[in-house]
Amino acid sequence: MKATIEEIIIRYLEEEATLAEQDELLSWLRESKEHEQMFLVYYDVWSLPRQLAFDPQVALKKIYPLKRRSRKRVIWWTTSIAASVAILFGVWFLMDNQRPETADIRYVVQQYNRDILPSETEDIRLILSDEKEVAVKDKTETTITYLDSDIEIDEEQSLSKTEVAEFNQLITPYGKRGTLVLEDGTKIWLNANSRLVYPAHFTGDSREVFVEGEIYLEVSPDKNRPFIVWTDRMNVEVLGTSFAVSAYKQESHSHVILASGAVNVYSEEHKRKKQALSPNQIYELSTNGEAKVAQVPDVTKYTSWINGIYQFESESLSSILHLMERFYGRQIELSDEAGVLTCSGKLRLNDNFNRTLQGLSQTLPIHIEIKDNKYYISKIAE
Amino acid sequence: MDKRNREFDLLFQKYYSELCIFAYRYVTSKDVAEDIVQELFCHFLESGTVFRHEDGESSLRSYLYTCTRSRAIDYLRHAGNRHARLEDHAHNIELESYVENMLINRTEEYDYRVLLSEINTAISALPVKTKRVFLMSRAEEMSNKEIAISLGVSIKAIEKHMTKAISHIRAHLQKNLSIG
Repeated sequence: MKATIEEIIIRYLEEEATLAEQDELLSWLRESKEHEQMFLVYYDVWSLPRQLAFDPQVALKKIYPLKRRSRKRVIWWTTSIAASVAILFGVWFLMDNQRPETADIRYVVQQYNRDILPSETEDIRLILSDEKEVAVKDKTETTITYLDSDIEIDEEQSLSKTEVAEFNQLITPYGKRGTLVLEDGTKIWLNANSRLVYPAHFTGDSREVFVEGEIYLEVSPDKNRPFIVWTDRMNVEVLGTSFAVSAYKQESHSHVILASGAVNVYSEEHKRKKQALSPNQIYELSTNGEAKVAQVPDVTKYTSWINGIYQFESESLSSILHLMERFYGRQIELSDEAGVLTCSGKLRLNDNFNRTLQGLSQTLPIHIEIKDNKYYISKIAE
Repeated sequence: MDKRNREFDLLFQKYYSELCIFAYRYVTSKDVAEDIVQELFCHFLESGTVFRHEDGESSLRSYLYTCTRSRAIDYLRHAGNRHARLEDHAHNIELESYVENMLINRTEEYDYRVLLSEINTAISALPVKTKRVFLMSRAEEMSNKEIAISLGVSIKAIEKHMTKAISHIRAHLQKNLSIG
């Protein structure tokens, strides 16, 4: 049976037309303007739904130098984009009504990102608005609680909720950790060198936060308002559950580990390929976009930091020190022989780095030398 | 915010997606396609290019398409990147350039959003299975083979659904917008 011209056009668009069919299409197109017009309509029908994959709203943010910060502008911006995109995205919702409303928090993050780098601050910082900021001095860990009427810091200090912007930030520098209790009871632990952006109030039909670095969450169940964790490259959707997200920019892998409950994870690149995780599973995403899921025998290795310790079982010194490097922000040069030494135990994260290293050197045959702020570790010959 | 930026934003929102689709024809990578179009607009923004309306919408459109094409081709030339689409599948080069010129030189004034919403309406009126196949292909970006496997039917059947869907949608557009 000979294919109709309509079938040939579609096969051509799908990259499946044979050379003979392509020839036929070409002569048909040359016959008249009407034929060209007809082809273009097929092209539109075929390509328009896919254009949704290219999101002008997301792209536009990358275009402008990130200078505009005044609040008025942000509001103008988001509403104007929302209005024009709403129409554009009509088809989208029809296709996938699970897609969360993302514009706001991610736009805000774009605005914030260049402000303060966690790695360059000394204190844990709570940023409540452009004008209002609290530095938690002389503490290696802190707990911040959002109550109905105010915000409490370590049950010692209370801040009024007036003059608090829509989105707040908690920033932890190297060597320090923070815990945040949100209005809905969700508890989030921040590891060192991390930034969490979150709304002061949860409004709308989802609860969304953005993280750079590492967090552990115990999400309060709320069937009607899913909780979404955004990172640069992957996103996690949950209803109520406990899990850890690690998304350090400088690391080659980001990961999500589920302790209990259930979550859906997906990468920025493949938004529609959602991966469901069950407890004790790890989802790992590498910088080249490859995602894999594996079983982990024991999640405590990944989550014990929330209790102020790093706990490990016959772990190689190289991976222990990698964690230390990340936590304390120090540069460590490790010899190959020393790197393969294994060790079990706990490290206390409230200790300073030198003390932690000292502890390691008491259990392992290693020699430590400090030169130009860099730590050289080698194995002592037996 | 000054006026030019606002115009720029509208222009960007109007053309960004279709230019990406067009760039994708050459570079066959979503990321690269987006980079190319973003760099193009960045260039306009930085150089303070002003688009005058008296030049007409269709010539502006052709200009944007031409710029996108030359940037895409530059990318392919640079460091020996392959024109993967043309290499992976036998193409009639004459047809390729014919289609390319048609896309660049389109003159009809159409409102993209009206078109999209009409397509939307037409999709919702499709028979359930056809709709499912069409959305899997066009929205979820699955290949015909992947769809066939996931639905447990033959690739031929998927092709039939696709043809049916597209032809239905086109008929709907013909009727409601009197085009094509």
